[in-house]
Amino acid sequence: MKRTDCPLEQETLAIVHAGRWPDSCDEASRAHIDVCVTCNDIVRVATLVANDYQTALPTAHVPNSGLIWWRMQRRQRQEAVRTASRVITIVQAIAVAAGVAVAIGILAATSRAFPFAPSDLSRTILTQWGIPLIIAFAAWLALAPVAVYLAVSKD
Amino acid sequence: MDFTGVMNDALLAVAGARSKSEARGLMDEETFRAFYERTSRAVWIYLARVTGDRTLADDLLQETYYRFYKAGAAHQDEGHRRNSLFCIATNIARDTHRRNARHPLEPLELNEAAEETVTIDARIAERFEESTDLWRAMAQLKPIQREMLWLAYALGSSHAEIAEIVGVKSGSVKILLFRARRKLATLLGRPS
Repeated sequence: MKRTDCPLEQETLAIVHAGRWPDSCDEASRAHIDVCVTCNDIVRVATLVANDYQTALPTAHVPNSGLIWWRMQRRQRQEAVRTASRVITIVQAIAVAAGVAVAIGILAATSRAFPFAPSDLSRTILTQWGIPLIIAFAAWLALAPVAVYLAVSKD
Repeated sequence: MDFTGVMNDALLAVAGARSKSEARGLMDEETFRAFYERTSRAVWIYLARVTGDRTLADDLLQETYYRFYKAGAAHQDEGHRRNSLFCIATNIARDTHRRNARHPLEPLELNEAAEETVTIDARIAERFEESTDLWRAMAQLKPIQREMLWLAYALGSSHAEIAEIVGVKSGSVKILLFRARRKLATLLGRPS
């Protein structure tokens, strides 16, 4: 099996991270690194990458933390509004469709001229309960979107 | 005000109230800003190096912090919090890479003088603005190899942390890191 590690791997990496390579490295470590392929690769690659990182750090221009915070809050609000609006639209469409159906039903029940009028019993019930039914329906129209939103929305 | 307007206002008030109540699990402004000040440069450089595009890194940085903030996860300590942040950054960079990979460009030949010509994705080659030997070589590695090398040697992450961030088994990190390192060393050529 091909050897992929070296027992001194971590020590070699520590030398690089401590900035001791190449000038402040002891002779024993230097001798090992010269002959060990794994440690030689570690020194080479880790030195280049670490130097690149240290060079890039002072020149990295990132947005101000206040600006990032403000953008995050704005985006969160926009997402909340979008979610709420979507639910409102769906529920209102359902409510309007149901409202039209109920209105047609009440009209049919109370109008004698309507060709498909229900029985006398149904007509009597609807005549007595027509107004409360309309009030109940209006209340449902107002509260249903809120109830649905609270039930389905996670945001 | 009409019925729809009243309803919308009421619902948005409800949405606002819910957002505020849910926001209790999120970082407050002071904590977030302090954490951002401590980590943003390292995250930006990581994104710039992994994607090879500084402008893209600007966008991905904001997305990274937004997703991190919105996740509102509780973290045991600063190290765990930092690892979560880099994990999100890694996933975002990979998503971007996958999107770009759906529209591949013609391969570009580099190092024409060498005996073996090496072909790399022209898009990545163009993105790596620094034409140093390191980044020309890095551009030829797989994204996960770039991620692992950067985490290990620039940020000094442990194998366990690398496993958590890049999403591989902890036991696999050593061999994957070895292969990435070997490949990069080979691409860089033997020192004179």
